[in-house]
Amino acid sequence: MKKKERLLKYRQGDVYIFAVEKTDYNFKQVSSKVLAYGEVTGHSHQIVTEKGLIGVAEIKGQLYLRITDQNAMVKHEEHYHINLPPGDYKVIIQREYDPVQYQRSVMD
Amino acid sequence: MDKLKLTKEQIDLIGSIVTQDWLNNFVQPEESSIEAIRVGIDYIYGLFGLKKPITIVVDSPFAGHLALNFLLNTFNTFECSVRQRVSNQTSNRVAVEGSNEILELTTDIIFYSYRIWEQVWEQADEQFKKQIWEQAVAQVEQPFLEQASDPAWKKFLAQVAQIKKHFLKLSDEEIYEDICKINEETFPREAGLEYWQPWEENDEPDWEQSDEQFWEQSDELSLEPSDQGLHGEGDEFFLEQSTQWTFDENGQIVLLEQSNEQLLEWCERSFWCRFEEQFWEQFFLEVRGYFIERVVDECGVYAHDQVLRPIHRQVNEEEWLGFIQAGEEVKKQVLAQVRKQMEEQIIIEFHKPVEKQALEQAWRQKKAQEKRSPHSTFSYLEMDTYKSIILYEFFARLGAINREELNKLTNVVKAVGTGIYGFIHLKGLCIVSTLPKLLRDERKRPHSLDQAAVKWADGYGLHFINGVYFPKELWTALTSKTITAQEVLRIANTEQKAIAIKLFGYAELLKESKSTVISRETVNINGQLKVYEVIETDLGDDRLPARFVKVVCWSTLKETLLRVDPRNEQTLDPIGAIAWTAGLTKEEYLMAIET
Repeated sequence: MKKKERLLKYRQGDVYIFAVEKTDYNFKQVSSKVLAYGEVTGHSHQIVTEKGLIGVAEIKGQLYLRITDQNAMVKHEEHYHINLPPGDYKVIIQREYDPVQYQRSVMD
Repeated sequence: MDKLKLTKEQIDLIGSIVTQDWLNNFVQPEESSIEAIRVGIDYIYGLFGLKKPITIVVDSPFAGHLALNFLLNTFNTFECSVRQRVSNQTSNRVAVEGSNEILELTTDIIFYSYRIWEQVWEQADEQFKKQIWEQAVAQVEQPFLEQASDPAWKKFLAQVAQIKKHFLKLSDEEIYEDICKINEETFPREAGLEYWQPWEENDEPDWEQSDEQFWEQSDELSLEPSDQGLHGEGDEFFLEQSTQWTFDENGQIVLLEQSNEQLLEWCERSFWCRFEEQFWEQFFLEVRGYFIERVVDECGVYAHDQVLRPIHRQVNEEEWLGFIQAGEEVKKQVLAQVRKQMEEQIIIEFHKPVEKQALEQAWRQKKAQEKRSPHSTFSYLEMDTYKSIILYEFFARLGAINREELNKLTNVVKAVGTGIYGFIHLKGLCIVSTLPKLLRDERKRPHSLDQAAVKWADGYGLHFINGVYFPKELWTALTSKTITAQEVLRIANTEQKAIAIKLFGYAELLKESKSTVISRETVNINGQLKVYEVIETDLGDDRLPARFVKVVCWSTLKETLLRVDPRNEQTLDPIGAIAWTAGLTKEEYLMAIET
């Protein structure tokens, strides 16, 4: 049985970033990317880099990042910055239970 | 039918594509395009074998009521009451027999209205024309007669007299010589033409036709009478002008100038058409009539058209120009005076009362309908129609439904998707209300915490938070934070309650309700020991008690309550509950190193 690998996880507020094994996705290069907006404040979790670009791929609604720059970081107005070392990442936005959506999905 | 051999993934994929395609149809366009709407309405009418209607596009259902009432009041109260009865009958029929399916809905309403209203429409149309024309004439006749003593009119008459004098200077012999010469040129004897009797016996020419031919040939003198006027334009004018109405916050009309301007232009045009008859009669009487007699005597009626044209050339060019200019001056001054009088008389005495009456009626309807269901006069697609069509489309793409037949239905919905909120459809006339302004959240659901998320130009609005409708009073209490925890917990509608609870704040509500700690776990956060808890309480917005995990933010160290799925056993444990918020199992979550 293959030994489970411990993955690096980052969390900033309601954004989780998991390091994943190198993927073969087709990444689009951008200079920055907003990962999520705050519901009330309008603040955003944004990944930026001093130089170079960030690879972004959306696979079946799932956001993946490819970091090649040593100075990439996730910024937010209220949280500590998080430095992301080069590698591929999966971004997950924290979910909450929504009884309205649940009821609607049950009815449908 | 063969059993469809598709995997669940393929079916899910088709389902999501169909849904997205139709969402794009419904959500777009942001702004309604009048041209696109008219094409859409023409398509719908055409589909049911109806002629393309005159389509009035207004920016709210209230404006639509107003436009309709304006038209109905313009006809008269009899037709108005008949239309009302017809409308009530058809609405009742549709309510009883109708279904949510667009084909039935649309055909029922269109054809019920069509059949019954058809009998009324032509009468109303005729009476409308007669009414506006009689009123316009009544207002214009006297000013016109007064123009007869106007300096411009006198100058014109003087010019006519000058031309007449020129002709009169010619002796009978000179005129006779002219005529003979012209006849010779026009009907050369060597060609064997019998100019004095160019038609066969019992085959007399159409006198009016030959007269028209003459004036067509005189176009270099710009003498042809205008053919502008009433012909088929009066009704269109009134229908089109209502598109110019705009409304303030209370639904009151704030701009009618443009429509008034059109009314004036229409009346001026109609008047000028009438005036021109007298204008040219005067000329014919004074000048042409004199020669017609002479020429007809000499060379026959048919030839006189050919003869008169060169004779006009004998008149001094300057005199002709003076004559034309004098005529233009008369027209200008007459119309200026007519306009001034009509502005005060026609607009105030005719337009304003109708407008006032229409406004009052529309306002009463609006109020009455708000008590029942908003905008019920309008036909519009129910949400169930959209759901149904997505379902049909899904099966059509799977090959289970005949595409050709379904296209008729989808095209109707697409036509409505051009930006139509609803429409009142009558024979030859369709009043369309465009879509309201819509504010959405990031998931494109109607949403606003600052104002009505769905708002029409007439001021009517609907309040939504994250796609859930709220009565205005409740929405105001929530957004202004004047609602109490107990009031939130007493909200009967579970959807509204769930939104209200989230907006109010879980922590505050938990203080007001009995809660139970299900489990605890101590966590070391940056050297500080913090307790994570799973808490349950009955908020009444779900069938199961609400379950929360109380966590601490690693960077801000603020405590936060995250609501988790109470049906998932993993969420009974704080770490499992946190893992659930990331879409992971507890094991997967623990495998990752949190930084």
